[in-house]
Amino acid sequence: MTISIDPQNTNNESLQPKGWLRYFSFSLDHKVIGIQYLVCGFLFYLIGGTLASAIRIELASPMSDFMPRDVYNQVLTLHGTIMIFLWIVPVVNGAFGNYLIPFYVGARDMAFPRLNAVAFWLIPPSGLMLVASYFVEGAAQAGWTAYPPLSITTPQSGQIIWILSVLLLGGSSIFGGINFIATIIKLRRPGLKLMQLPMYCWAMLGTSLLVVLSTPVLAGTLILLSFDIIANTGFFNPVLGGNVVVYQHLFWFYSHPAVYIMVLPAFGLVSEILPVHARKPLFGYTTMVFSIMGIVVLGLVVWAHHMFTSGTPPLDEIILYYRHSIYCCSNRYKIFQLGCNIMGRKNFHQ
Amino acid sequence: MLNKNIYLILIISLVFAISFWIGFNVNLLPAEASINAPIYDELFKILFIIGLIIFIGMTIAVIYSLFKFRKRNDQIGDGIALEGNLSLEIVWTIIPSIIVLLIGLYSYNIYDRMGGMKELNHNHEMMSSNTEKIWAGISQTSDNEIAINNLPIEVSAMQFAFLFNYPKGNFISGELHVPVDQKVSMKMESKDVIHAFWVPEFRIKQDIIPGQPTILNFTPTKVGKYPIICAELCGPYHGGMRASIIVEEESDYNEWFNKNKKPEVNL
Repeated sequence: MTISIDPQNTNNESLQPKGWLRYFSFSLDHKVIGIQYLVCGFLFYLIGGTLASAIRIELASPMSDFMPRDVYNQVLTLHGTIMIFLWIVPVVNGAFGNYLIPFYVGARDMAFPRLNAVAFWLIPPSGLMLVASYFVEGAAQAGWTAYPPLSITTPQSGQIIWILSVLLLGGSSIFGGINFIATIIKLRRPGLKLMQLPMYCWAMLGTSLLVVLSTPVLAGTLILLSFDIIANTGFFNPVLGGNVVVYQHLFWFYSHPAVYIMVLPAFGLVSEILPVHARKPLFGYTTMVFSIMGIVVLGLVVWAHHMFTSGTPPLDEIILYYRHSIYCCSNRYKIFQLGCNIMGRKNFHQ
Repeated sequence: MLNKNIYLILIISLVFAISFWIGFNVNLLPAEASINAPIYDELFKILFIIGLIIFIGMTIAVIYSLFKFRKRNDQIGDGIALEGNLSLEIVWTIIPSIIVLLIGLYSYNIYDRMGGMKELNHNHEMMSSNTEKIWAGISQTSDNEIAINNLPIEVSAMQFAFLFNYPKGNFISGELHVPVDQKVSMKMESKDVIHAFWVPEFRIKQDIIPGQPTILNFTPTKVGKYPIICAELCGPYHGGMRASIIVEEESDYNEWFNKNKKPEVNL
């Protein structure tokens, strides 16, 4: 069966459902996908928030009286994973990015609308799978970091479902990242130069570069970890001669940039909203762009400060420390910049 | 204009004064019970003061601007289109860079004083004397030094307990007893998953890794009982994985040691 779509009009109106139903369809419209991301992310946020309340209720007393100890670890793991992979990342990247980027760059839609829809539709099934893993021998219970050998020795089914789910979510954010980079670089209106882009576009460009560079490393790591669990290989299993610290390096190579995947778009939004309310242009546009790109480059090389206690050789620790110092400068710079923006709002035109 | 500058200088010096006062008088950290602790706290205090200066300064600047430059009733239209100020931007990039680099140099010095750099200095010895790879924690010493000067203890961590083996007395204890003011060298290894040896009062935390022994040295300075807490999620009973370290006077320690000591078994 072939469906012929007019190449000039990929968003063929007649193929798309009307009204609220379109939010449940494989819609190619970036605005619809943005809202899908937002609502879907918010639903998972409610689940993650409920789990957080469960954690607090358990911790209200020193005794283990609200839920069994292994269930507590499952709740902890699910809460962390849901909040990171199903709430912050889809919402700050997917929702706002999809909705706003085409408007900002003056494109009719994202560069790859179908890839965009695929990226969104990977999220609900993998999220549901993650939540449902609780009912199959219990969910993963090694924390959202899934450090081996704990993740190898805890019940396998939950951990495997967790890995599969995070792989799908990672795939979704890689698709999204590629899409944003292509849209921002190639689909700008003629005459809109890179250095004239709104700051949010720069933030999304930086975020997407981080996503595309670091998420595949996480995917590879988790695939190796799943081999350790299913096929008894020894990449990270010390009993078979594996090295557990290597996993930590690989994991934080993604998860440190992930911090910036979460916060850069938010910085971008602030950089857009604050000037509007201060009724002035953004202060120091060019330097802000360089500071975002500095965060991108340096964010990729400072992961080991998450592992200062895991027995890193001192020389590495020092090198990493210095890298991190330089990197802080670029961050602090950004904050000063924003602070400066609201100052000195004088001399109104009468 | 002069008046304004005086106010600015007054406010800045007030911010500095408040930050220094809080930094030196508000102690958020637990008791200092090892040689490392005061060295570490020195760094913490300085970072805390710098953080306070920036935090209080920025908060005052933001609140001041919100009130001073708010929209009045008679004002319509936009503010001045100020796109940036290169010299100002250069200044506030360079000043924090210098501060951060100085903190970097300073923390290198702190780390060195805590003994973290020893492995670099003793690199040759380490390479030649050890075929087995031992990962360094704070206060690295070479193996010879351990044998001569220090109290050696072998720590094994498992789900969900610490065991302390005293090779000199040939016994294993669930509580860590150490004499005050004497250097303790621990070789730590995990039997199953990653654990961590954390004593907040000593300002030390070191992961205990399966398959890779880590070495941790410390010198307690205060008699007392302190908690040892596992600081790496290690399974369902992670929250209950605690032990105590008991720092005693030398005589009390010897009494305890002799009571538990087992004679060497010669077969």
